[in-house]
Amino acid sequence: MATRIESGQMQVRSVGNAPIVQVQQQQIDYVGPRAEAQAAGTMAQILDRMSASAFADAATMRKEEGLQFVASNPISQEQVQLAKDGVVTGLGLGGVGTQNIFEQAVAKARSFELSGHFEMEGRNELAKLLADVEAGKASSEQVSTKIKTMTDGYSKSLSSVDAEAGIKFRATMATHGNTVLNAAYTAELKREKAQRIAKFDADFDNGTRLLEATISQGNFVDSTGQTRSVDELADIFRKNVTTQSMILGDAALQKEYSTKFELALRNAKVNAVTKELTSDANMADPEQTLANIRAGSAGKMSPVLQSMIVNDFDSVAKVTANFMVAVNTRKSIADEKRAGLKREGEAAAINLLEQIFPLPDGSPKKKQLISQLTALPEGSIPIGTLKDLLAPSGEGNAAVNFNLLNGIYNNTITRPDQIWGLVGKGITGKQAIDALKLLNTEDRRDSATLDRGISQLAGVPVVPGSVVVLDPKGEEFKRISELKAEALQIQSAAAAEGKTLTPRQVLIQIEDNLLKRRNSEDAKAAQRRIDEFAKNADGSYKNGRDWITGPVTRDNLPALRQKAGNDAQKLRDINELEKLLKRAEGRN
Amino acid sequence: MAITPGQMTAGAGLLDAYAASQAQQAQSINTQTSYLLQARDTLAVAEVRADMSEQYATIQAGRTIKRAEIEAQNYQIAGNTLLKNMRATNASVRARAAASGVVVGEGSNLGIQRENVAATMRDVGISDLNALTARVMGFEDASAMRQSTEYQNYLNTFTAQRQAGQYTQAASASRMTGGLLANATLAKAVPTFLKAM
Repeated sequence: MATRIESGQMQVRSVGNAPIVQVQQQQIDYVGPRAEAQAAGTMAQILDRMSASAFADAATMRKEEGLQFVASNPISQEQVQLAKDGVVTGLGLGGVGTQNIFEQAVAKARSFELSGHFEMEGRNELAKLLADVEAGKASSEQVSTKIKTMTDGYSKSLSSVDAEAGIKFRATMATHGNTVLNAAYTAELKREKAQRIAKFDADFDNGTRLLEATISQGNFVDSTGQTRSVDELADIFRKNVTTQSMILGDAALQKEYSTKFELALRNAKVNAVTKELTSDANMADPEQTLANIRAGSAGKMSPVLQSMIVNDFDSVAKVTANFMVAVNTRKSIADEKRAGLKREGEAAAINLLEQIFPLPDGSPKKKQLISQLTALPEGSIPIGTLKDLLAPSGEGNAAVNFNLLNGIYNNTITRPDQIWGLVGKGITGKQAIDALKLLNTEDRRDSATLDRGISQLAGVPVVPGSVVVLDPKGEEFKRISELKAEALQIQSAAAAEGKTLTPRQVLIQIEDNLLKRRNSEDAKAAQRRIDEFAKNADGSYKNGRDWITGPVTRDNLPALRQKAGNDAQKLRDINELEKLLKRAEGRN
Repeated sequence: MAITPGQMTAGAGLLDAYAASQAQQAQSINTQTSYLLQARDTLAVAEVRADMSEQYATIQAGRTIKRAEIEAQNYQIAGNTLLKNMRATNASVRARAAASGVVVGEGSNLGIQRENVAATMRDVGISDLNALTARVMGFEDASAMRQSTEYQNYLNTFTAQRQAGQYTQAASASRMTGGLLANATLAKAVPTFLKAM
């Protein structure tokens, strides 16, 4: 064991760290100011929105007030006039370029008003321009200049109040103006084209006339002295027409004038050939001429006719038709001339016969007139009936005469020879002359009305075209004679008063007279006696008159007469009834 | 006068706006409540944390003192051990001197014994100093620990109070924002309603 101890086995204790807690500051979340800032921000936003909304409302209200102001104070004519002249300041038209909403609204509304006025005036001007354009008084250049000047002026004035209104006005005027300008261009174009077409048309007409003149010669001689056919000339004209119409730039026109040219050429050929064919030389023998046409021979127009036969047979048919028409026309004229001479002869014959009839036989005058009558042209009077015509006048057959006159009215007797044929066979020469006069009268319809009316009033059935068998001793014939005599009396009385009555007026007067007579007391009394002739008031038959049954009329009188037979009393009753009927009919 | 469809729609719009304003009010109250709860919780949590920190600091301080005491005792034990070793060594010196026939209380053996005593006492003195130091430092550490915890707690509580104040302020602001929005909604709806009527 060691005996020595060394010190230093113990060391001084070291000083350690103090085990203290390091104080640390805790983080504070400053949410309060943040929330307040957010609240303030929100409030600022709200206030901002509220103020914006309030300003917007205020602006709207001010705008409304501005519009209201303009509505209450419409722009005056002086202001409009000044604005038209470009003077817009100091006119109460609102603040131009101002920020004030009221003033802006006034300016906007005023611009609308001005725009309306300007547009109205602009339209008015454009309408006048359009009328001028349509009347051909204004050219497109003038229209364009006027529209531009007007639009620029108005637009400039308007723009100084409100640019937007100015732009809109310009657009509107451009739309309207374009229509007018378009119309001007169209009218100008149309006019120009019409002028060119008219010129072309005139040239075309001249050309076709020249062509027709050349065609009428049958051929033509060119500048070298060579004779050429008309078709060659037609080719030149045809090309010319096509070229000129194509220059006009209208395909339809080219087609139209090509067609017109072909038609004109065809007509020219037809006319030229027809003219040649209707010459006196060719008209003398139509059959020969027709044969010549078929053979292609028409004198100097033979080449044209032959060309037509080969290329256009329709034209040949037309030429033939034209020739036939010309022949027929010439024949018709000749026939008409003959007929006219015959009519004149007939009229002269009637005149002479009227003078002859009253003259006594053997008088020199009568002989002279008869010699004149026989000297009339052939057909004026049938020689075969001359003896009968000049024979002493008898009564003639009344029924034949009646039916003759009726036939004239009904147009079954239309020719004088039908009347001449009846002379000596029922009618006298005088009656024949009366019938001829009636046939030649222009207003036979009224005469027919009078004659037919008298027949009807006399109880004669009148059916157009039918023949009536009339007993000259019969009651109807008597009545007709009475009524005709009355008609003559009425006409004489009117003539005495210087009046001229138409047959219809005469008939009406006859009817009136007849009605008056039938309504007279005597006629009524006669009718009462007829009604009470056979029966008493209680309906029982009177003594000896029970054979009269039914009503008594003019129609059933013949039946009653037959029923009476040879009974003297009954025949007396019939006679009495007849007298009463006559009185009841107003025929006293 | 019959109510027109337009007036009905306007009325419905007004009702809708009123409902929206009420919803905004409710939302603001909800937010306010939420902030107030956060404020209260912040304070409560701060208090709890302070209490816990204090308890922890007390325990730690106790342990620190105890650890210092044990350390001081260990240094005393080490001093005693040094002294025991010195006595054994000196006994050996004396034995050897005796064996060699040297006078034990004289001469070199005495000098050796004295040197041994001196050297041992120097170490014992250091060990004693260490024990004292350990004891003193233990107290100091425990005190510092408690004091720093107290400071920290104070600071935390103060911060929590400030945070709660922030939440309270935010709650008021939220409430106010909600009210403003609700009023604005109504204020905006009324003129619209009147325009449509």
